[in-house]
Amino acid sequence: MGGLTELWRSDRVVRLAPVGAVACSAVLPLVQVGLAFSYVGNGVSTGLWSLAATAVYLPLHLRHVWYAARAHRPPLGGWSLVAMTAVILGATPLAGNMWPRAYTALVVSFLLVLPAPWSYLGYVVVVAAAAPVAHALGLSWTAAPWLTFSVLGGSAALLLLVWLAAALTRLQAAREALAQRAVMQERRRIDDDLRHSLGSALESIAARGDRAASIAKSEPAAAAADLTGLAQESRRTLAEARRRVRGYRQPSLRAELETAASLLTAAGIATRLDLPHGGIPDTIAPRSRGALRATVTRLLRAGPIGTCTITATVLDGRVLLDVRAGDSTETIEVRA
Amino acid sequence: MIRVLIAEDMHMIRSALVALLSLEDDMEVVAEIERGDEVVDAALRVRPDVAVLDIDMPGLDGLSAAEQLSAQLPDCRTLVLTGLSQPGNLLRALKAHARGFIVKDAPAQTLTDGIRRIAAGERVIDPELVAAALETGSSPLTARETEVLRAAASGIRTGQIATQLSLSQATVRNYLSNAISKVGGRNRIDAIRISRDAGWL
Repeated sequence: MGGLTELWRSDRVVRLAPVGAVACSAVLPLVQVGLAFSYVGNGVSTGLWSLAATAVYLPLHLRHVWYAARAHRPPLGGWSLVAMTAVILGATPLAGNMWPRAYTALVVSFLLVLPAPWSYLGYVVVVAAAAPVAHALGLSWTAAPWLTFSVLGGSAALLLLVWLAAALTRLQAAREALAQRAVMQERRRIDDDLRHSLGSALESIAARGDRAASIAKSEPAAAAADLTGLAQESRRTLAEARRRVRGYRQPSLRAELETAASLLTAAGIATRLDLPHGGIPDTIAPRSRGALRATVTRLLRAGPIGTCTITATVLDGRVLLDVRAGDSTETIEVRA
Repeated sequence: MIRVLIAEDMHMIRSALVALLSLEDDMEVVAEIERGDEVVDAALRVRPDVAVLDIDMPGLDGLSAAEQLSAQLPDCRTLVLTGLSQPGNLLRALKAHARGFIVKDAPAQTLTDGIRRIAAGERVIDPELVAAALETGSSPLTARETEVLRAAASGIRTGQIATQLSLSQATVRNYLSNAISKVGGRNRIDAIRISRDAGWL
């Protein structure tokens, strides 16, 4: 099941779908050629006409399917459709009374190539003509309706396949476009964020550096004080940069609690997580996150203090975290 | 007087650390080591109160050295110097009974204060490292998957990993496949990179 899910999630299925649609579209006409030799009343020449006509129209038809399954209109599709129609209709008197089954490919190509309403009109006309034409070629009136049904069912199945492949392609294109837009927006946000926060701090550091350099000889004491301040400001900026970078990666509250429990347990504090069955929100406000981290840091520094229980409860839509370690209990309200 | 052992493979940094700690009245550097696999022998010889270990050293990494030191010389407390780039190492450090875990670019005062507090029995952990570790999360890999991925990271082939870990080649491939999937890598190189960056290897 997992493997199947993985397959459906992968891009491979999107790439393979048009190939599958083309392969399925080729199967029916090829079976039709095989049968053309074996039907009662059909001779070798009938079969050969069927084979020749199929060899000419099938590549054109598969070309229509290939483009449509990739959500494109085939270039010069109108001309190839005209050629295909001419071949199929031209072969009708020569390729046996079951040849109108080949109209399946014709009506599918109509719908794939022609714009509405001409495509629907062509579809209806050809499907309606299939049974009378087959009858005129010698098929009994009892068998002719089945041929119409065969054309209808076959075309519906092939159209469904092509539509599915095209829908997958469009879906993937939409997903990629969304992802690209999200990346662009995120880049813009990070750029603005860095310019407004770290940018000004770095400018200040550069200015202080220049000032210290200019007074280094004349006022060494003041320059030394400036350099000390510069070092402190650089560290503050570095810490700020790290906070910013961390802020861009927001793990879920559950993952953070599980990691906290692992860290505390590794530090010799046997820690148990008690989470509500209904689940906890994924997001956590920076302030609540900071409080949780401060508590974890304090407990880690405190060393072995026996046991710790982190209990999450949901009350009136609010999530409360009770961190019970030794004799003390700390409550952190989690805001999303 | 706090007796300090320093293990750092980069000569200039090691010399700077020695010079820095020598300025402190209450500290004495009793050993300078440049390889991880020499830490335990040196510690057993000089019996330091605190061992300051760099996390990346030839021979044996600082965390493995801390683990061995804790087993063979429990009285010696270890302080591991690390970078922020591998936050998952905090969990390994705590499991290795390291008493201190601070970033290399912290001010000198943080290091000397840290050594004093560790010698006094406290634990010193940089809050920035705790925050980074919480964000990175625990390793999703099992012990065996970690072992197999670590072996793969050394560049040996699947057959050699199988021989080294007494597993069949198919099992090694399964472990690698699971590891790649769990860390969200595209292939084994990507999985090694992701796991190393997170400090899970």
